[in-house]
Amino acid sequence: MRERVNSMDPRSTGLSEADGYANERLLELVFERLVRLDDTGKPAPGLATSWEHDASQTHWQFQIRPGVKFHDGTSLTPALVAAAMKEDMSGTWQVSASDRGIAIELPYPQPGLLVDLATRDLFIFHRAQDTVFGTGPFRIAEWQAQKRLVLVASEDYWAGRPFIDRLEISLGVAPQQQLVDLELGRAEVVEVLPNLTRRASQSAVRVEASAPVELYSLMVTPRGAKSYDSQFSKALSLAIDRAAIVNVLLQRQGEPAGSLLPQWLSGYAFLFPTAPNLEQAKKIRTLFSSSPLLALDYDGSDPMAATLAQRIAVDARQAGIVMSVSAAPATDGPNHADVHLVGRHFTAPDADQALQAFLVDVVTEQAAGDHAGEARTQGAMIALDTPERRYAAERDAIDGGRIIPIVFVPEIYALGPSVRDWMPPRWGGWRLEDVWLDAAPHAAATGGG
Amino acid sequence: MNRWTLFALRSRTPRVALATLLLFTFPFIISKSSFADDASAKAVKELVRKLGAQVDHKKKLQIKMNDVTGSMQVPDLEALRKSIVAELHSIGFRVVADSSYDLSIQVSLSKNMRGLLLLAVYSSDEKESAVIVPFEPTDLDPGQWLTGVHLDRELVFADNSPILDFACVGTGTSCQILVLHSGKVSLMAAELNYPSASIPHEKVWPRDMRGRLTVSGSDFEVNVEGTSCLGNVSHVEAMKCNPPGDHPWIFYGPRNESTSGSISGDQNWFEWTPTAGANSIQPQRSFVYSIAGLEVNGEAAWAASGADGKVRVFPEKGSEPMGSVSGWGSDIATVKTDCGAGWQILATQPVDRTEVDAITAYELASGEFRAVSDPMEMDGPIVAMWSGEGGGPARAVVRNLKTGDYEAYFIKVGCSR
Repeated sequence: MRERVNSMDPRSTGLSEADGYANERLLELVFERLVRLDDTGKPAPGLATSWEHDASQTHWQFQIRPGVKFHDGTSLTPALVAAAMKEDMSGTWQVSASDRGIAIELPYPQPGLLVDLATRDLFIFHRAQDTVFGTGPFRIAEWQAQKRLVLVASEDYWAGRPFIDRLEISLGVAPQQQLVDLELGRAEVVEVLPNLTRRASQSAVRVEASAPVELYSLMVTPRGAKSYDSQFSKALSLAIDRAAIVNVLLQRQGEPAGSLLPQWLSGYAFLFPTAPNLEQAKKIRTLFSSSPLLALDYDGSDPMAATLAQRIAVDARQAGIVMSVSAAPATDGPNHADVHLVGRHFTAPDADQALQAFLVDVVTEQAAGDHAGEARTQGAMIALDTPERRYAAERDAIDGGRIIPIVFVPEIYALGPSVRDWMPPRWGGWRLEDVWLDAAPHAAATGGG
Repeated sequence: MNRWTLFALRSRTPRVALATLLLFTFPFIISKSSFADDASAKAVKELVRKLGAQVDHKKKLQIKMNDVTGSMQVPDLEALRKSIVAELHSIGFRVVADSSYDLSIQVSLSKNMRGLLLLAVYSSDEKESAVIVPFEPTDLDPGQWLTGVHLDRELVFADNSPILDFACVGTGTSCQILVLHSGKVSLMAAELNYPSASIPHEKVWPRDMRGRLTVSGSDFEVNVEGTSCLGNVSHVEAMKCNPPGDHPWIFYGPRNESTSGSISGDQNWFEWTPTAGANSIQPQRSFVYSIAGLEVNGEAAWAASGADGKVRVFPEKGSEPMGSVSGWGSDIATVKTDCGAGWQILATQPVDRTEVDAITAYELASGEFRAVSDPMEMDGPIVAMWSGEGGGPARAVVRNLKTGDYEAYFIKVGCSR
């Protein structure tokens, strides 16, 4: 993996952090949630076998799966589930245990609770002697923060022992180095950046891509918002040749983005235009008498972001918009950028949930300092339960000029020749418990004839 | 919280007739009277109802059409437009074809991961508004309809949790569906509140577990890994199981001959030894994934797919293969028909669980295997396939790659006409 994950403790993660997505991928190998998502993205039983709610959708009951054991041999009980969830959740949820299951009381109706439980960092764990144990398909054998994770198959995994005996995951490995490791047989599965797809394909390995699951967009900062209005954002958006970015920089891995959700998730993304219009961009630009220097920054640890930022600056210059491009400061200090280039993974294959999370980030990003928490709460209250509402919310966010979608990018993996049954969900992620390695084809054969 | 669907058992619509039906009805419905209950017709009604709630009825409308899915022919798109216009007329709107309109509405057919959407977009007071109606498309899968010996499939049951096997207990339309999941057997009888019985196990089940249902009258036998159980559909809950162990699975031949294989330790294949013949060499124990009985040249035989990737056909009593072939998948079954050699071997393809599988019928003649049907592509990998009792339709379980559901099919072989 490219990312350097700091912790394998489900309590210390936060999916909004920069390494949250990578952290979640690792945690899902060891820890499980009450609910999972099936192949169509619908909630399905995980550690809960069934559930029901009252008419107001504020009182939910979950039956806990019997016969499940944590990796230290402790049986999963409703009391342990409730204890874990109390540590996971904010104080607005009340969790209680009964003989057969747990109850969750919510202060407001939450029809999307099941998707929440299946995608947020609400892992079920059990703590004993300062160690945290999960119920997942693999248990931790060795952990070196930011460097290496070794997992072994959980022999008693309730859904069947994984086929793989042992997994070694190296962290913080540069993208090019990952491909070298694959070519030399030192790795079986590696991440591939879109701009390295062609090289990965030429190395005669299988390359598998998910649906586009990450949106790169420009977010106008509070500082930028003081200087530039929505018309200026429109000029910048019209100047960007998204198709060229996808075809050239991303080697056709991805889609131009005019909306916040991709077409496969929303079904209405095609209503948001993505084609450049340089003449129109120049025309709008002339409305601004001064020639300001727009400061664009990006996540310095993301090699894709650097490439994209440079290309955006080139396109902007064609319309008379001059940009300075730099990596964002690594620490939380004063930031003098007018626009951030942000890459954001969709955490759920659920349009409501994905957009909700995205808009909360947008609102929070644009709220100044002390008001961020308040804005986050307001953002979480946006009702997005119908396609029309989601469309209107996206339209408002984009027309407001505070966010400019650029491209949707898939997750891409290159597989070694022995990897079989690599079948992650369409929206990305891993299902390593289903994967097996064809180490020596036909080795088991002793048949006669 | 399983989600499952029981399909009515019925004969498949021939491809020719189905093509005609598709031409006139898919995916939108021209004749309201004939297909008023169809999902797409309902979506049209809902779209127009929502438009009616938002748009001034005095405005003259222009309706423009757009297909984002790329799946519609021009006549279909025009049929959709006509049905929308008819609905708009029915609630008092005037739709014009010339430039005298007050409001232009762009109607699009689109799709996302959940299904299809109808979208109507219009601009009013410089603000763009959208009406969106999601709906589940009507499934009119044409299946296979081949010349010569052809394969046909009949969808019986679909479930979002893994199915190991299924059986039809009874006859014709009155048969009841018995389903074997990883840990239990269930009778799909709503009036009996879906009776079920659990299968005992000491260790956790493996991920790639094998299971089979064998039916005789109203009795059934279950084999799951090394456990066997007996039950009766009249009282499924009373099913009795042997303690988990190394209970062999019995496979039956064309004239009720039998042979047995045992699930091999931690592997998902059987240890099986062909029966010694009068003058044949001492049979060797082999590891096989599937065993199916058939007749070759009027004599009973066993087809077995080995863990070495080869399928071999052995005489019912004899250890020397009559033929062997590589390149097939590991699941095989046999079907008795009135055509060709009388028995066909159904074989899957060597794909993994990320790929669409297909079934092809083969016959063995003069030591050579010959494909006698075109491959019938399924909607995902075949995770189990078993021979039917007495050479009847085989049973296949497919994991649909689009829906993620496990689908139970009867696989039939038809003769050319």
